[in-house]
Amino acid sequence: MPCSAPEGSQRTLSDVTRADDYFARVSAMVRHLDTVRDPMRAVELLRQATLCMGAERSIFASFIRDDASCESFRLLLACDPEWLIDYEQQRWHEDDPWLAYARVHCEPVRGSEIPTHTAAQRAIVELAERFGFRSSVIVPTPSSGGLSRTGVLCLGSATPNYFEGDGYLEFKLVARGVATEFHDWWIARMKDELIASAHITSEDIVLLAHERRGHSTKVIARDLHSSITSINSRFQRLNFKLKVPNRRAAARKAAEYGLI
Amino acid sequence: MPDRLYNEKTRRDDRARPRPSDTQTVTAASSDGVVMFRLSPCPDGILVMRIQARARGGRLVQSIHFTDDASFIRWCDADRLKFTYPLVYANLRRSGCALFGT
Repeated sequence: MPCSAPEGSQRTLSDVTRADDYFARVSAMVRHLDTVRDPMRAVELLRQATLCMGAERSIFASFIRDDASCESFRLLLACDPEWLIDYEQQRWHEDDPWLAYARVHCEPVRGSEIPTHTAAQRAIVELAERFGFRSSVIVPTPSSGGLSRTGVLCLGSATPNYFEGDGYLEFKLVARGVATEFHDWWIARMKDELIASAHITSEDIVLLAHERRGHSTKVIARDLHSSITSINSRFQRLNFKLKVPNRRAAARKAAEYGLI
Repeated sequence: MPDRLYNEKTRRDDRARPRPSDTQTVTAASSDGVVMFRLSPCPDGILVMRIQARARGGRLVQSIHFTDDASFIRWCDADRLKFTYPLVYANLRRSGCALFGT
């Protein structure tokens, strides 16, 4: 069920969200995510869902801390990708007020409600405006359990104040659901990717779950009817496969990527 | 050892050259693994995945939808990595345009 873009059509957000089938059309679009494995196909769905919701463009960013010094970013871009080239060249991840908001909040918010305190933050918002996010909504998808993985859906319109009027409540409700679905989808893909690249077995996952619960080698060995030496060497192999320095980091990485 | 040099060069060129991994998807990658692209046609344009290993660790994975060749070419030309990997970007551009039929 294709959705037409509201850009240039003078439609207000309220016009879009008042439609009887508003929720049904968006959920029908997102339901297709279940059948998609390829991020390139997911971006197509994101674009369609964005239009159905009543926005013109969007970006879904998922970030995860691989270790103390580095983070990986995964982006679905249903917008002009040149924006990201400028953004990357300026190394603006650390100053981005929208990302900063998403790291510590769970409530969707309009971009206009997020304060900018520095020149770099103002420049980042101005860059987003130049690429069609003159009015925006930021939808965080945090993770529980002290994990670093976070997602954020940024929805935009080139029409100033587009998200400020009536219809925002319905839009926010739908956007939150869509963001959560895409976040869950990314975690599932990252999990598949790690299992395949590191050759993780179901026995490995059991071992990592024990470590995550803080069990000692002795307890794990007793529970798995194995020897202490065997458990230690299995952890050593796992650390190598997951490219981490120790078993604690291995368990943390497994949790971040949704293995346990 | 001319033969060995020849083989290494061939391998480098092979990695940079786009190759169909199935009937529709085309891939291109730098020999050092810093940047990789996958391109695939879709009903109203092409889909591109760009994977970059970041200098300070971690990866940046971007999945992008292009509806016209002009925006795709602009995007290719704006990427600074094209100066480091001119062969990869030349192939990327050629493969994208071929998928657009231009």
